[in-house]
Amino acid sequence: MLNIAQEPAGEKTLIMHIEGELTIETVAELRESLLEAFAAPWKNIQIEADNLSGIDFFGLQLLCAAHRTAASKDKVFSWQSERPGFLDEAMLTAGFTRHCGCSLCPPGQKCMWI
Amino acid sequence: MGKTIMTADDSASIRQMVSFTLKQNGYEVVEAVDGQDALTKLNAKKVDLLLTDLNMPKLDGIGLIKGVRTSKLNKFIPIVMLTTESQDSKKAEGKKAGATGWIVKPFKPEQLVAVVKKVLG
Amino acid sequence: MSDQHIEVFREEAAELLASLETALLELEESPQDQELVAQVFRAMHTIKGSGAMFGFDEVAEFTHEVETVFDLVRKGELPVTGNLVSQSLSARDYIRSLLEEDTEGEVDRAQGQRLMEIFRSMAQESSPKAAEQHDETPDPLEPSADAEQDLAGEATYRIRLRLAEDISLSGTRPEGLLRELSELGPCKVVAQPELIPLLDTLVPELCYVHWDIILNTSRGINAIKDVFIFVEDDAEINIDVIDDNDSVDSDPSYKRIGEILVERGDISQEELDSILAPAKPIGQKLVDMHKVTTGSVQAALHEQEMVREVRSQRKTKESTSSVRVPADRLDELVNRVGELVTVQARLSQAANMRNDNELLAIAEEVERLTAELRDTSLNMRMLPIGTTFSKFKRLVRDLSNELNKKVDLKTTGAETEIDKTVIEKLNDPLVHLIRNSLDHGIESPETRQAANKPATGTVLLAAAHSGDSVELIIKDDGKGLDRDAIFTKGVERGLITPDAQLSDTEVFNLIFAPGFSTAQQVTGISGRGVGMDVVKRAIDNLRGNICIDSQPGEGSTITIRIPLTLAIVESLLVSVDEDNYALPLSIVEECVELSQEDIARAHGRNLINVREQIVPYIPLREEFDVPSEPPPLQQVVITSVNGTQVGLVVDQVIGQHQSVIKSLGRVYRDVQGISGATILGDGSVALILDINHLAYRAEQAG
Repeated sequence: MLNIAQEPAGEKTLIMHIEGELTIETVAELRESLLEAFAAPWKNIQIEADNLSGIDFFGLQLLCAAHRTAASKDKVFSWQSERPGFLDEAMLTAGFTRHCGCSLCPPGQKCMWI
Repeated sequence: MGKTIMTADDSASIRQMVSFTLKQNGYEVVEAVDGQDALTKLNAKKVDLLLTDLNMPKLDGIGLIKGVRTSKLNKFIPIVMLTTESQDSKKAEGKKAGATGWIVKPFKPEQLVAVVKKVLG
Repeated sequence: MSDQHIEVFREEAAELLASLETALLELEESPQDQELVAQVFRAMHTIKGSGAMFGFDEVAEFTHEVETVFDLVRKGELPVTGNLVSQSLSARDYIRSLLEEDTEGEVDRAQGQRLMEIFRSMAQESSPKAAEQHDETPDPLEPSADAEQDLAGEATYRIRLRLAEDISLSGTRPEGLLRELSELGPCKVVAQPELIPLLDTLVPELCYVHWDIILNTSRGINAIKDVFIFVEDDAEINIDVIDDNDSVDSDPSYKRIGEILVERGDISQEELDSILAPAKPIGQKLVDMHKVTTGSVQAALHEQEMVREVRSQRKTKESTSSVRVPADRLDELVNRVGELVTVQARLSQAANMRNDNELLAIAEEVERLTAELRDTSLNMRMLPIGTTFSKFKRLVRDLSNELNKKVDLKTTGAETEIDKTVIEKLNDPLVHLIRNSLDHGIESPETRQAANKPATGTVLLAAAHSGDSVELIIKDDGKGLDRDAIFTKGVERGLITPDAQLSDTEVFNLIFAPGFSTAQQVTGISGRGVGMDVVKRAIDNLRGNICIDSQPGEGSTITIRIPLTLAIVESLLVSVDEDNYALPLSIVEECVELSQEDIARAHGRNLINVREQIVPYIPLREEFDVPSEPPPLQQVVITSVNGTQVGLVVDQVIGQHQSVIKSLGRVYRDVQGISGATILGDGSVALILDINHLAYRAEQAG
């Protein structure tokens, strides 16, 4: 189960609160919300996931896709505050931490994963 | 870790043995006596893994696998087939239908646990 | 398997057998009823499967035959006949009797056999192949049995994993596979996200990522393959060994990024060459030019890092902190020291003549320091022979491949230290001797097996200190030397007369005589004109000796002894009265006390009881005729010589000492029991005991 709540924070920023599990069963939902958000005029889209209880590879892949999408549209997709700790292990196992900057990431912008 | 496993088999002794072994290793177990029973239960309850025999009355293993992969609730769960070695064509069929892995009967309890851990990731 | 499960099975089987009987009888009435056929088949299938699970192997084996036949029936390849039903009913009864053997006894196994035969022939009737439909696919839980042995040794692998996009449709968790890999050993995983589409075209349940993984593990390549056993058919998996323990190329720096990228197929060699320019790091240049992705460079960098780490760790394990010094600088140092010694000798002499006490004292001090300096500098030239040994492992491997023989090289005593130049001079002779063993000694695997020997031959290289020499042994378990052939050749070559009376050993050692060679062909391996005599000459130049012994059919042993006026040995210092003695620590097993009572208890024989074992001892005091009285409590140092235990009685056990062995010089060389001397820190001399000789003497004396 995944709960998504959207919270505008200023003119240009949208915070997405996600809680529950971001796994293959729930990625479709988040993708929908993200698509909407990217289509709208928001400049910054931030994820807050302090209450996320689980994530699998497909969840990580979706976040990566979101980041790449933002980079291609000149928007910013990032964590609202600190990335939740448990994500580190999942990312390490899936091999995402070691990657720093795919070709879409413009120089100077931080990769989602660092 | 609180994972739930369904075991579908028409043999009570196998169900019992599987149930016992998995519970001993900390899993919750739900039993189904044939493919039909399994599918009904799976449409109402989310589980983390399905163990199914290939030969069952009413709806056999292959049918069950196809049913699960087109359902909503448990569509992406790992499915392990219990097969005997003389059924290799069935095994290939099962893979095509969407099974994740298999165990060959007869198997020891430790082997069951090893495969469960493997596919649960 | 708990009894409870077995009971449940028995009940279940009993029920099945009961309804089976009914079904069979009904089937006789309506032979076309597919439902009934299916029911019978399922009953057999279940009993077979569960039977095997719970230990009823006979039941499983028997039921299998019946199941096979009914499988054919339900496929329409065999008809239901009255005979089939009768036989099936008998089969059912038989199964029941097997299941109830424990409680009801009597099982007619002969009948069981007969029934199995009947069912088998029924299956044969339909199609000869039907009865053998046993697809042998490996059980995913058994380790895959490869014809080749696993490379069971630590190795680093590069794994490229590309899963089918729709892998989730089979419920596979990619992270599960990656986690399993990381359980095999230290692992660096790099995900390549380049192919992930943007959100609008992304199907989130598909897998667009592929992985580059570097894994260091000692579990072997099959353990890696086992991880992917369920996804083999839906994935592209490449596993390459990029570094293994045997690699003589143990240069810790590994390959450069460009090389790695070319090897991994990320760019072509031409592209690499056209780009190589000193400006930016190669990886960066390639990324800038969009020749490769950052991800690929990352992955390649990780590969480089990982292998370097592994290799340098290995190197550190092999040597603790050390400093590399060019060999000629060491030689220069030694020469300087030599000159210093000469001058110091003149100083001492002059001091003696002058009768000036102060000068004398200083001269003595200088003498002592010079001696120490000489020892230290000469010790710097000591190297463990192990480095030479590792080169030979490679040599043996290459040679055995070339010769189509299977040979294992075993080594002991790699830590034995020998002067650097001696090692260098030993290299060629040793290479030749090893080549010889492989070429002429070890037989082909077929010949070996025919002679009831293991197909893989063994060559043993052993090095050890023995008193003031180093002893090297090259031993093989090949076919040994042909005494007669050698004798004949010796006569041919005019080395001996036809009627010479020679012992086997003397005959064998003829091969070292100049101009001797019994090899029928000169093979490329042992070369032309590089005979054993060349080897002997090299050993002679080192003031050593070499001899060979052999057992026909069992192998040959070559022993080389080289004297060292300098060698270091870890020893145990002991004392008798005011004198110190040193024993090689390697032969010391333990020290126990020897009281006056213990001596009395032995009634005049030099024996002591150590944990129920009687150990003879040698009282050094007596041996060396030391006049003073022994202390009330003495020590027995128990040593192990050639498998037997011998004790040495001394006053005190002082402790460990790194002894630089000095030979005694010509005058004392023949003294039995002493193999050299060493100078202790305080300048005094400790004699090094040769236990072998001492024990021999004691034995002689009775």
